[in-house]
Amino acid sequence: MREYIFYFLALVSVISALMVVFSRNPIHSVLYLVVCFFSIAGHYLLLNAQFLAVVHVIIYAGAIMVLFLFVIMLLNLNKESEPHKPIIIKFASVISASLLVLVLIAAMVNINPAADSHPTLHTIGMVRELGDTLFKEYLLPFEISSVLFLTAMVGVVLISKKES
Amino acid sequence: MLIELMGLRKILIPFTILGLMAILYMNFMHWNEPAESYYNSMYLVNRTTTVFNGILLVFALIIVFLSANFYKDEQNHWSDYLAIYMFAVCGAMLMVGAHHLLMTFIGIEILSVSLYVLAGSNRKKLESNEAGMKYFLMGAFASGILLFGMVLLYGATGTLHYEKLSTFLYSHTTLNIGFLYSGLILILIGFLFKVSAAPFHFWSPDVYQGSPSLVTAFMATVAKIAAIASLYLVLNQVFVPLHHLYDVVLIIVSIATICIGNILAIIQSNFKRMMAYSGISHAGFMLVGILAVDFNHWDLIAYYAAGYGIANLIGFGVAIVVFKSMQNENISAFNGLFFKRPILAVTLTIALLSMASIPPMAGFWGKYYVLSAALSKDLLLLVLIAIVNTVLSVYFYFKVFVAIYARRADNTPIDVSGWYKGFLILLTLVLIAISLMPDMIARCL
Repeated sequence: MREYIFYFLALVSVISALMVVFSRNPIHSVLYLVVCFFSIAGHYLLLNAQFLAVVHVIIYAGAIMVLFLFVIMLLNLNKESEPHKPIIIKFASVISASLLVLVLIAAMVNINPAADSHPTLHTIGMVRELGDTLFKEYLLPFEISSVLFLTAMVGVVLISKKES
Repeated sequence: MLIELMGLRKILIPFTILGLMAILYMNFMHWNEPAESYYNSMYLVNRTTTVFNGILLVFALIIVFLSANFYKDEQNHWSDYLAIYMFAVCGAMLMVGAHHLLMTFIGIEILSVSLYVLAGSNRKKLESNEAGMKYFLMGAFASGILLFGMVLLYGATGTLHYEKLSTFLYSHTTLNIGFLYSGLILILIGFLFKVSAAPFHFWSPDVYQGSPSLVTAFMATVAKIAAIASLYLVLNQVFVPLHHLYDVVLIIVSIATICIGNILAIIQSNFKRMMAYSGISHAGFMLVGILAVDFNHWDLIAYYAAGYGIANLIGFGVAIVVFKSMQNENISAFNGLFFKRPILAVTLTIALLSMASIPPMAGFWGKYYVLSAALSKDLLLLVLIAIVNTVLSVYFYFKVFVAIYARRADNTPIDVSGWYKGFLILLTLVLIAISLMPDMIARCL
């Protein structure tokens, strides 16, 4: 059963990722990207990483996609205004993308999946484990990061406040 | 900001100063107690961190005093500015006290984010916007590199805790070499960017020049000393077993930093840009200190940092009022200062003499200690280059003296209040005091 779900999700994510690149209409691209993110969240669930899956859906499929849609609407992209790229750029991008794939394959070849059978590995992504570590061992960094966000918010206020 | 809503803007600065003094008192409360770590040993309190945090707090106090004058014209932003300064100090103290690389990173980020905002806080000036943008882009990359280094280190060792890391490094010398070495190099790069050492110094002159002067003073003192102290603590508490790896890197980087800082400072005509390059060269000297000083003699680095910081703050304290009246940030703004405002001229002279390390001043003793430590480690070439550069550096500080004493003054008056002058005189007396008693201070620590 698990395997069938994995193959289904893998198929969905690869096809939707390809559609992101190949579809002409930017809105369609973004919607396919949403599908892609959801299927990747499914992969996280299969790997027992519930928290990561939820965060992935909330942040990527939720917040970031809305941002993308806003930007696309504001930019008013359409087929006519799309610049035609010269052949040399296409050539260069194909070469660099293939190089990246080569590097990734070279890195993946040496991974030995049997080494991953650590006993705590199956529960490490669960919400309970995460909360335990976050609020016990890493309490101080967790709390202090709120100061970081507060700084960023006060900074935004300072830079964008209207002169009175 | 709460205080502003209640309409109590007048008590804002005294309140901040009281708060800082309370923290300073709490900081030194543990003076005679043994080292202790808090919150699952995320935060360490011992003699070293207490002294470095004390230095940072004193500098923050001075900055808050100066800010009352500097932000006089923008009173409706006072609370925002002060809040961000205080967050930055919080980040700096976390960097020093951190006992876990995650804490170090969060401290660095709090400090950097505050500084990005402050650098771009003068919205109407194009240079300030440019400074904020440049600092943000470069700093974000440096933070990314630092974080990636930590990730690789975690991959190699399975922990980021200082003590666990150091026991791991002592017991496993050959495991996962690639991850470990690349992680160490990336962490070093991140830190060297933050202290503006030579190959990663390009942001510093532009950002120092463009930022509002008080922010520049803050960057040159609190931010730089926090980064130096943090690098020193990380290297000495964690990476000592690998010192044969990073020693060579630090030797080359510090030679390059000292040379580039001093040689490029000579051709500057903008005072803040010149101070940026002089700050780069001082960072180079502090790197020599990190390299050569044993962990038991950390007080030498603290002494250097304190002398450098106070001299810098006096220099910027004078420069702020002069620039404000002259509407000009070049060295020529100081023309004939001695005939207009003799007290400002004399305090600036004493501060710059200390930075140029003329013998009885704190700057001289700091360099003397650092270089003699380097000599005892047989770094003769490094010491020779450093001494030649010290002599060179006297030249560009004397350009300011020539402007102060020998050039003709124009008629623009320089407004400065009585208490501001009194405060600068007090700082100068403190500088003279720590210059005259280097041994006693080192013994107290």
